[in-house]
Amino acid sequence: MPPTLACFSLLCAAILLVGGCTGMANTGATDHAAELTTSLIEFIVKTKGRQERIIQTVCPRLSDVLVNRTAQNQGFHRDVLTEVSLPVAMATPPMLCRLLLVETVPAGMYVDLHQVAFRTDFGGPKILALRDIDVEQTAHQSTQHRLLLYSPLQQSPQGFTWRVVLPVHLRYHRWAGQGEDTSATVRLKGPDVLIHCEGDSQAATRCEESRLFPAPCAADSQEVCLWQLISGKAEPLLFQVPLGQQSHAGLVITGTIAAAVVGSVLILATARRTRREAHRKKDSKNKKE
Amino acid sequence: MIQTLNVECLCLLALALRLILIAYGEWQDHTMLVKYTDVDYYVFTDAAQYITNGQSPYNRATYRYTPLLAWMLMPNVYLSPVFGKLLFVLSDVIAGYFMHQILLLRGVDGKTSKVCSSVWLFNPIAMTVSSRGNAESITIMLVLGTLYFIMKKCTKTAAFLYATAVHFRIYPATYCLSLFLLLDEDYTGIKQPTKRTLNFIRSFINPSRVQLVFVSTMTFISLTVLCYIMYGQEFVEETYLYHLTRRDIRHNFSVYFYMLYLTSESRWSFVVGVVTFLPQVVLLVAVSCWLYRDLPFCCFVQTFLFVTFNKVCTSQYFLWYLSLLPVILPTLKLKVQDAITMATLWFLGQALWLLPAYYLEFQGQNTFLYIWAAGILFFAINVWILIKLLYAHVHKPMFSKGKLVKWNLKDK
Repeated sequence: MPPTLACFSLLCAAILLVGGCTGMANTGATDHAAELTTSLIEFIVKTKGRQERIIQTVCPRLSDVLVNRTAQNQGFHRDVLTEVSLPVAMATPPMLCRLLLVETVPAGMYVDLHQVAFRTDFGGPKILALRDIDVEQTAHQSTQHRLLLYSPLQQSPQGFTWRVVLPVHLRYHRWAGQGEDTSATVRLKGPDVLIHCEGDSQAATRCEESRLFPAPCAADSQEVCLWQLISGKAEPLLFQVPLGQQSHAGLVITGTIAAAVVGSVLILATARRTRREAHRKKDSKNKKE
Repeated sequence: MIQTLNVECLCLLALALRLILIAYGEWQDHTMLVKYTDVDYYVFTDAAQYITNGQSPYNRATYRYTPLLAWMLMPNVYLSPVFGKLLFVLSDVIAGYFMHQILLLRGVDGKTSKVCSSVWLFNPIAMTVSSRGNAESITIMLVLGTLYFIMKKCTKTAAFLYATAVHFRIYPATYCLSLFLLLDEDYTGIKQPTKRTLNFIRSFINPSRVQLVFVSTMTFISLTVLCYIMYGQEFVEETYLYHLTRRDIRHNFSVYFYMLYLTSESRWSFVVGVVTFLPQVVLLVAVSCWLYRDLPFCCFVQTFLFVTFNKVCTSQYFLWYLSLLPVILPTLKLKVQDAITMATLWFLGQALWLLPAYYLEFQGQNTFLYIWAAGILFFAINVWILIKLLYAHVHKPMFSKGKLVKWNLKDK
């Protein structure tokens, strides 16, 4: 292992350990933090390779951060709108901040990165996927995947709002058995909102190690930055997916097979009859000649 | 106006209209979120990009075509992303030209030939599909080229084009039996004895059939081996095996869709897979043996059956048989009101399917049973249309005593 990579891995392991030790009170959050750090590090090592350094972040005082989530549209193709509002004290110059949203997309849905790439030209976010996404698989044959959403911050008189629309698609699910619910529920948990700030400001405080995560600085950047997790958990969104029902199976199987058989027999009979008529006409024509 | 222009002018006009649509498409893609260009075209271009980087085109998810297509579209990366679309609309217009020539060869008068090929050349569906960047026009051009050269008795050229068509898309493989049977003594002009068993087997072999089988097999094998050497097992899996074993449980026009969805993940799914395969095979073989003498009509019926009885059916498959319709139009003894009824019912069947499908996909309502019912109805409409066409068709064998027989449309 090259020395710089070893240094980097050791640094990340140190963050992990520190993060694991502090904040032990909420083990659920710690597990999640540890798991998130691991997947981020794996991704960085896989795609960015050797890292000379990690760009540090300045941690501003965090007042109330509001995260608002809504789902738009109906059916299999939805838009998930996330709005993050930060008070103006947080990110006024000379402090420069960027926001990163970490989405954990459940197995029951997927994001089409090619579609997202089209939307970038029209103000959509730039997205990195930590793993390849199979857009054609059914829900029960898929796993959850993580996305990193990068988007510029929009400034408003009240503060900073960050508004991003993520197009998601619900996967086809396995049919509902007898007596089971005719629709499945897909649960999209709230995102992890991370911020990276650079600059000098009196508003800065000491960074809490347990809330620091390494991630690429931008979607197309080779550099790795440290990002601070902001609190402000959003409620999970629930999506309903209609399912085929086994109670229909009897009718559907019989009906389909009957249609196929009747259709085939009719076509065979017609083709045979028209062929015989054509032969009869040809024979009578030959007789005339 | 069609009478006054010659076929070359009509083709140029058709090409011009398609170029205008391509230009409009470029504008829409740049200004609107909803793209004019087909999703598949972006897949082809991405695959071509991978090839220019020395990688496999199958790195692009959902690329399920021959690597030759991605190779042909490399100018999309080097020259302009529009190159592929230009190639496809050109193939489309050449297909229209082939239709005209096939009709002329068959003895149809110039005016009717031009009208029939205009049905394709100025067809809004054909124009939109090829200008959106759909690659079907290449296969369609190759299939029509095969028919044209068979009619000119250029067996080797026809065999080469046929094998290339099968390499691009699997469905022309269903014509193999009819092509083989067509090349009998009526085609070659050489009488062969059929009295004793040994001679009966020998009568199956004649120089034309040997040429057909040899050239098409060698072409297909060469193309397959070349692609296999370049891209290995992935090529075989994505280009051929995926289409043959495809079990798409997402909703589509196929009559079998809901049945396949409900039996997926169950111990019956293999049996069901075989059961859905049987009608297709039986019908295709029967039609090959009965209708081969009128090859264009036989190919039309076979393609129609293939699409209607297939496990998966999407609207781009309809082009496969619609492209053969202009060539058989003069042989159909149909009243205008019958033709209009058939066309209306065909569109209505699709509309009745699209309605519950829209409610499922874009409103999230559980309309699976309605989609199934609409699928059965559309299937019934298609069966009815085929039966009407079989009755309306005037059967005229293509070859007699080694020569192409011209239709005499007056004595039906």
